Amino acid sequence: MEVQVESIASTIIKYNEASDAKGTETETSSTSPPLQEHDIPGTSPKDNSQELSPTEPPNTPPLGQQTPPQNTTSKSGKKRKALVALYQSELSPSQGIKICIKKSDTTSSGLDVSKKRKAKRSRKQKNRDLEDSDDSEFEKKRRKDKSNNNNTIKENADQAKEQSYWGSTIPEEVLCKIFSYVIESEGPLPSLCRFSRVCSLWNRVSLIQSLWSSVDLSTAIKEKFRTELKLKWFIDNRISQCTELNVAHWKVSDVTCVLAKIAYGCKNLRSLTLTGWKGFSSENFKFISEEMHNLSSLDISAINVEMNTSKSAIGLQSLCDAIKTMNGRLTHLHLAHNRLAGMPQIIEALANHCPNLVQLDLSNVRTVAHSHGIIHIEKLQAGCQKLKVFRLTNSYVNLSTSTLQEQMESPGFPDLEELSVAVIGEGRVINDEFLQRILKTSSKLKLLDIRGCARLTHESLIRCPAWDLRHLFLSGCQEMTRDIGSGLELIASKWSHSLIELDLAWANVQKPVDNALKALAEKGVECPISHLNLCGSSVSVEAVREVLIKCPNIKSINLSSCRGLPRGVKRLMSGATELQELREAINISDNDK
Amino acid sequence: MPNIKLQSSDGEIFDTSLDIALCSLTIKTMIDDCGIDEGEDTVVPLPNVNSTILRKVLTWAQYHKDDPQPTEDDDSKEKRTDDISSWDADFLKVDQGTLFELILAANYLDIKGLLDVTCKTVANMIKGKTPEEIRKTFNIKNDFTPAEEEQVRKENEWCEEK
Repeated sequence: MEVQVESIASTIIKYNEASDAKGTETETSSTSPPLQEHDIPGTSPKDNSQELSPTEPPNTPPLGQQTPPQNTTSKSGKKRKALVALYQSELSPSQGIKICIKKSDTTSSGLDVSKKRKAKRSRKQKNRDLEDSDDSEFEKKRRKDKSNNNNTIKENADQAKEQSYWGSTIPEEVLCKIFSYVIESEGPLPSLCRFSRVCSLWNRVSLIQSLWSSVDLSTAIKEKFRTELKLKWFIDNRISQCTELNVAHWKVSDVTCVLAKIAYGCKNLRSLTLTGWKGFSSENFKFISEEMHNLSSLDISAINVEMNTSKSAIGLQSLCDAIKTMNGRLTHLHLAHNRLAGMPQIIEALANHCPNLVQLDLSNVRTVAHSHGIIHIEKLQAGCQKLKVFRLTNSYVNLSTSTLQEQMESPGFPDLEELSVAVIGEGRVINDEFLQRILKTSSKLKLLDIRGCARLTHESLIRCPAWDLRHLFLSGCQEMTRDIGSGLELIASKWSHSLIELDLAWANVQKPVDNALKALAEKGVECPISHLNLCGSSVSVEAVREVLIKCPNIKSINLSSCRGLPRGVKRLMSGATELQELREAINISDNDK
Repeated sequence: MPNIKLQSSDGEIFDTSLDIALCSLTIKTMIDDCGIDEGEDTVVPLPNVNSTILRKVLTWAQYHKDDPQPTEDDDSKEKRTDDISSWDADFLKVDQGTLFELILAANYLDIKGLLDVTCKTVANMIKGKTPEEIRKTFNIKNDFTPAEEEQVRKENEWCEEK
């Protein structure tokens, strides 16, 4: 993981919900963990460049070397360090979040708007005509298909001589099924566009409505086509049956009109992402909470970044009203990167009205005054028992004081699977008590991100009730990593049977890091660890060697800037080839296994 | 379990165990509807499946006969294309013609598991490919008229190619 020095004030975390996600219904619009890299106090990295990385599934060979070219801010011009692919939320198969350090609208900056073609105004009408005729042909053909299979085959053979059976006799429902498998992993765009250009049969099948049920228009659309007209065309021609729609960062001027079109055009909409819609007003908010009857998941991140909160849609009153209107059906709420007022009231509204809340994202939230950023966690726990994902990444919030009795009586979050309280800079607010109050009963926790929480000690992790933690991010936890005792080792051995990803970047005392790695290695083949981030740590060659010999599941290991290591290996090693190189470089022969 | 006789389109008779044959919902329906009694010496004709393919289908069914029955819920489950078992992957290392006929057979015989795994295999073959590459892979002819092609191109020009 890259460590960055940049002005904290200009740091934002930007959400880039990659479309493709289509988990099961309850899990649909969860996003993967926000913070990927950040400042670690007390270290002085030389590299100022910032790499953004969409999260990659842990089981694919991580990308990372020198990529991606877009959305990067490179100030130093030095060679960028590679970045380890990060956790991908198991709750949300294929969504990613990018962090960018720099306040700018970067979504589109890297997009390559190629060849300029003039869009003809008349096109819309023409398209529609063509489709209509297509549709009717399609219907006719289907009826024929059903009535007489053999006939159709002959007919097709006549129509297109030499046409491969993949383009003619394949039943449309089968082709549709094949497409749906592709879409499941890659999203409808751009795959369906490609398929539609293969041949006329594929074109027809690519327009089947059920394939367009979850659509991300935030990245797959060329910048110049992100217009209100195009959005309306989409609603009429492609996505009228869609249940999940992501239109993040579209620059829409007439928000009211467009939202009405979405509300009445896509009646089945369950999940809507409006990230970055600066013009979204409280009237709009009221409208969607009242008129989109099936809406259960709403992402209104980055809407009022700086604006006066009282007038904006994300103002206290409109938020609380919408929460009350949506009540039981609200399952996912993303309020990240907003300036909020009255956090206590918002939390209270959620606790009182939203028993089915599964995901709450309050990352990068700024508040107007310190007193506005207080969360009464016990109230939230009592009201939202189903919460699975809770993100407070890099937000100026604190827990309210509560009596011992309140803490005792609270049921905790028994279903919580993901918690991020990572901070950029000095995380002085979050202490052991803070963490313990949130995680009190969370035995199902899978991911814990506490990067930068300098005050947390290993005690809070040892007491953490999670049985099978899979992803643990500890870089910048100074109290933990600087402690010469056996804290890190205890943590590593506690979860050595379950950890897939461990981040110990910048842990700069050698012995504890080495011991933690040895604790993982001791578990041997049963240790599932596949991604290790040791960037900038004081790890020794011996410890790295031991992990590489004993843990067979390692897929990537980041050794950038590790002072204790010999030249030539201090970089991200990922994939079989590079790991083999590393093994050779530190003299692991096959006999050692 | 009693046996049942299946007749392929080219006339070959396959004497097979009933529990294997029943993984095909089409055969199951036929048996249920026609009231074929167990042990009776009836032959179920399968005019849409030839002997080569039927043999492969039965091999597959034999291997998978103890798999849990797919339920309605399975449809809502996450569809993945990377969970093809190694046995299935080996089984499907066949030429495109055979793969295609297996798909048709699985579709006709209504064997969900086989249809799933064959469709996944094809899905993996078209993933990430350009239209031209797909045409080449499957030998598909571009049957658009120039006007249609221009139309389709225009309809999709907004799409960002990654």
